[in-house]
Amino acid sequence: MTNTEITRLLIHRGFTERNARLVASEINQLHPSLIPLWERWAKNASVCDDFSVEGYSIKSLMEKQRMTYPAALLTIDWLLKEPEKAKTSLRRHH
Amino acid sequence: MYGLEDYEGIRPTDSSEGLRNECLSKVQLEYMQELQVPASEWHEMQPEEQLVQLNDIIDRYSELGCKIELDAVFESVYGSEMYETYQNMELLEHVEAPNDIEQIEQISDVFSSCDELRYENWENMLVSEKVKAINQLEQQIAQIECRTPCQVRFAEMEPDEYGGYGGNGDITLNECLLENDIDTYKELIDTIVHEGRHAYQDYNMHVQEVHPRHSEVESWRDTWGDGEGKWTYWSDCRTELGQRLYEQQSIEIDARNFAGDVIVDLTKKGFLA
Repeated sequence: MTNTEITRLLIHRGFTERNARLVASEINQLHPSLIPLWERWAKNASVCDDFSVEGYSIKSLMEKQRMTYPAALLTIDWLLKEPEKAKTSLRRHH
Repeated sequence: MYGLEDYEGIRPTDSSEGLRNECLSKVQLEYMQELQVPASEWHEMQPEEQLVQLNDIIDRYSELGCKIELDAVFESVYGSEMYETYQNMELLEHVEAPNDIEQIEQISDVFSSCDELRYENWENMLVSEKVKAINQLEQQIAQIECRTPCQVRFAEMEPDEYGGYGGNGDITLNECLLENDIDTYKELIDTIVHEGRHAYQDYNMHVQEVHPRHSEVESWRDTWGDGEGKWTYWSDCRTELGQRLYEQQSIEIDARNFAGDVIVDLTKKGFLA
């Protein structure tokens, strides 16, 4: 999917335009393990496959931190790519 | 509530039609009176809400283009309570916060000069004393930053959460930050400064701009998006963007760097050895 297509999809699913644009460019650089999960969610928003790494899971991020599926997916992506930085950040304040 | 365009003949009247509050035509007076708040409600309002209301009044006054002085409008239309607040606000209008380097220096001076906050004393304090000391500290930080102080509360949270600034003058921190452990104590200091900086950003964007660099306030607004008047960005931003993109937002970068610089300064001064 192109950035524009992802942006449109996210806006259609309730994202603000600004956030949709930011997320779209990140989605296209997802870790290979996460791409099939994104593709399934893109086709059907009710399909929220789980994935765990470093003690965090998509499901727990959605439930405890109230993240949307794409936000949780990007957070897992960060945990896969830079685990220490991501874990420190997740422990911090907001 | 109506807009100016809804009032026929609302433009300034000449002096023959008016007087102090008579300088305003009936329609103009009605337009300004829409923003009047009964004294009992005025006392119940938070300072931030009062400033927003007063700014709305000033905006309407500017729309009218009256020759009559704003002071006179306040005095005659809004009553003594609102007028008094407006006079205090006039003094505030000229306030500019110190630049970031000076703020960091002054905040670390506050820490360094407070014996209670030295870790060797901190670890012997009761929880209630710690909460009181942190609230007093927040008041001093707020004074340096020329903003309204927040009430700092401690609450039970998930073990991996530190807390946050929730808008409306409150900061909520994880009660586990009160435990006696030097690393936890450093996190507490970092967190209270970080969240105080969010309060400062909020104040600059939604109450009164006191930050000396307007372009930075604009960059915070950019992160903020179109939301107005309330600190709601976190819930939209983090839940939609995920953790990494959230960390890259100007509001977050600024708060993180500011608190980080305070910690560096405190370490240099030997406060956090």
